[in-house]
Amino acid sequence: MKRFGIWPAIALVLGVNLVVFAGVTYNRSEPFDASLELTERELEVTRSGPENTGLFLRLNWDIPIFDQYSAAYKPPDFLDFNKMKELGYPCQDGLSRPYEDPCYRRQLPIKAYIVLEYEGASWHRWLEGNENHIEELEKKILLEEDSVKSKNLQNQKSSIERMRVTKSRLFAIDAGLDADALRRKYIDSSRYIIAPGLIRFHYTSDPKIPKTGKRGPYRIRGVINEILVDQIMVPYEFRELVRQYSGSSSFRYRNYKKSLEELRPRYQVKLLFGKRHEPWIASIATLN
Amino acid sequence: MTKWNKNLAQNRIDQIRHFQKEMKSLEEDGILDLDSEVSSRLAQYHKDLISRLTLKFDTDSSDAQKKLSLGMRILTLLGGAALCSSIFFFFYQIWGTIPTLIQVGLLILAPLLALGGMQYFSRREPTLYYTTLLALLACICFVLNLNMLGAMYNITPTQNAFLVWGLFGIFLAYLHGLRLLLIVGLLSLLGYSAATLNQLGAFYWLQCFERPENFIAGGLLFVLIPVFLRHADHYNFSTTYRGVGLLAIFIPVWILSIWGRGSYIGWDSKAVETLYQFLGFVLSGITIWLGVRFQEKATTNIGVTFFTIFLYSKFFEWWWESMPRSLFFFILSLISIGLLKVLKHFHSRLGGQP
Repeated sequence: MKRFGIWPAIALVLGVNLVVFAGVTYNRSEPFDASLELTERELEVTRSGPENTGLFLRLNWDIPIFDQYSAAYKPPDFLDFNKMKELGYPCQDGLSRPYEDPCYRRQLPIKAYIVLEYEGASWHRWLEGNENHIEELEKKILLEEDSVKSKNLQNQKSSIERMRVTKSRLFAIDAGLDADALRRKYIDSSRYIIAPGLIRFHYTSDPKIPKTGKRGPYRIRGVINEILVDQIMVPYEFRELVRQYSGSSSFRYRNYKKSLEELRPRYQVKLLFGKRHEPWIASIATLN
Repeated sequence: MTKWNKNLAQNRIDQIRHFQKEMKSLEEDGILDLDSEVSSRLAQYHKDLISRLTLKFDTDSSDAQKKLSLGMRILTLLGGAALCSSIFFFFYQIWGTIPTLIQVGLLILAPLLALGGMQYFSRREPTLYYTTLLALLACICFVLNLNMLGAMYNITPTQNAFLVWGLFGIFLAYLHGLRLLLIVGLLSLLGYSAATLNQLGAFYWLQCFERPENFIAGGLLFVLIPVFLRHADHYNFSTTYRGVGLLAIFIPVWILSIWGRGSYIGWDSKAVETLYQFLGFVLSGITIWLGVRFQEKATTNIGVTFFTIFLYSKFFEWWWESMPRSLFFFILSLISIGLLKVLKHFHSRLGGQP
């Protein structure tokens, strides 16, 4: 090894960097896989720590089930037994004691492609859930005689109303192992993102059977653990513009003194996804 | 003719010191009375040899020097770790404020500069302390290079980076005979092999720690490498390969002996644990035997350590709940004394004493 001196090590460093840049160039070559105009609601400014000057935009997403906070940790409807089987999970569904089955114990998260829909049917489903919840709260407020409890319900209602203008409109609606097949199914590249993520094996029991009071059999489901690249680096040229918004958006949304108008998103981002389903920021503009 | 390296030179000097001490004792007891001419020729030969080896390899010619050298090695490790952390945090502190092109240039240049520094010092100091420090720095700069590029260009994480870092570390280790870099390289390759096996099992690579068996194949490969690849120039490397390899086998086997759920084997957890407990005892027994047979101190020590760990884990499982703590530890101490007696017996037999 001494014969070649230090040159193989130098060649390794340069060669690997070359491979990385070839990959980046390939990913960013046209045609792009997706091109979307998102806002602060979907891409929130985030920092990795007080001593880190790098700025990132975090991709906010949810599943189309209404929840006062976020439902992303819950199993979405599309990750049912059939989908999980398609993703490669081999266990049997409908067992009454699944924790005793070694197959259940062996499962780990897998990498799959997640389809995120922007401002589509899933967003409208969520809005519907939001409206229903507000209606229920209004009924409760009318019936509530205790002033403190009534005030709490009012606050809850106002918080849920604010979500309509602050909540991300990106929702996970499907998943699969073949990104090309998913793109053929969800053709509109300005509405659908196909991003690599992690899916976790999960099982949940059917509701209790009324007469016996026993739990029903357990059903196999999946939970989206994470989108693998959900922190997107802000390029240097947009740094100054984004820096003024670097106080957390979530914190801003919790400021109840601000009106709904004041809570509207402050910037718009053109986000592109390339051939390797890796994102980058093409432009950022202030919204008036 | 002997092909010298630092370790061989140090061993030879130690051998001469022991020989001189023994000669002195024999002379004092009146057993040996060397001719003054032979004695002075021998002393001169040893003196010349020691000064030649010390000059070339900066070896330790006294016990005090040896202790200081160990301290210097520890200091190199700590200093290296501190310097690497400093570079890491410094880059995080400034990277957002500099244009992308300069960021990329710095990231590529940093490992190359460290490599240049390493070469510069390797020609000027036989002790290799600064060389080790800069080699470690080159490794960290290369890790930073790929890690930051991944963040800057939003690249999906992959285990292939561990393969590249491992090869880089091992190359530098062989270039200057740096054992620390060999350990860094082997650990990185171990991570790569475990992650790849996990991915072959259809799971995400980063979850490889959830299945300890993923690490055993890499460990086995490292243990076998010195059998096929002789390290005449870096003979401590064989011990390092075996050490890292054995730890990569024994740690997963021990974890699975108490946590059967983590296994790929589709049996009941208890059955898996029993299998790995049995394997643990058999493997540590074989390791002790091989260590003694081939006079490999590190191998024997790892075998004995894990045999004891497996034994204690079993006792813990059997008695911890059912026994008063005082009695539990008393029994452990009795068993340790029993083990000590058995090992002492072997020790005496190996030394040829009754």
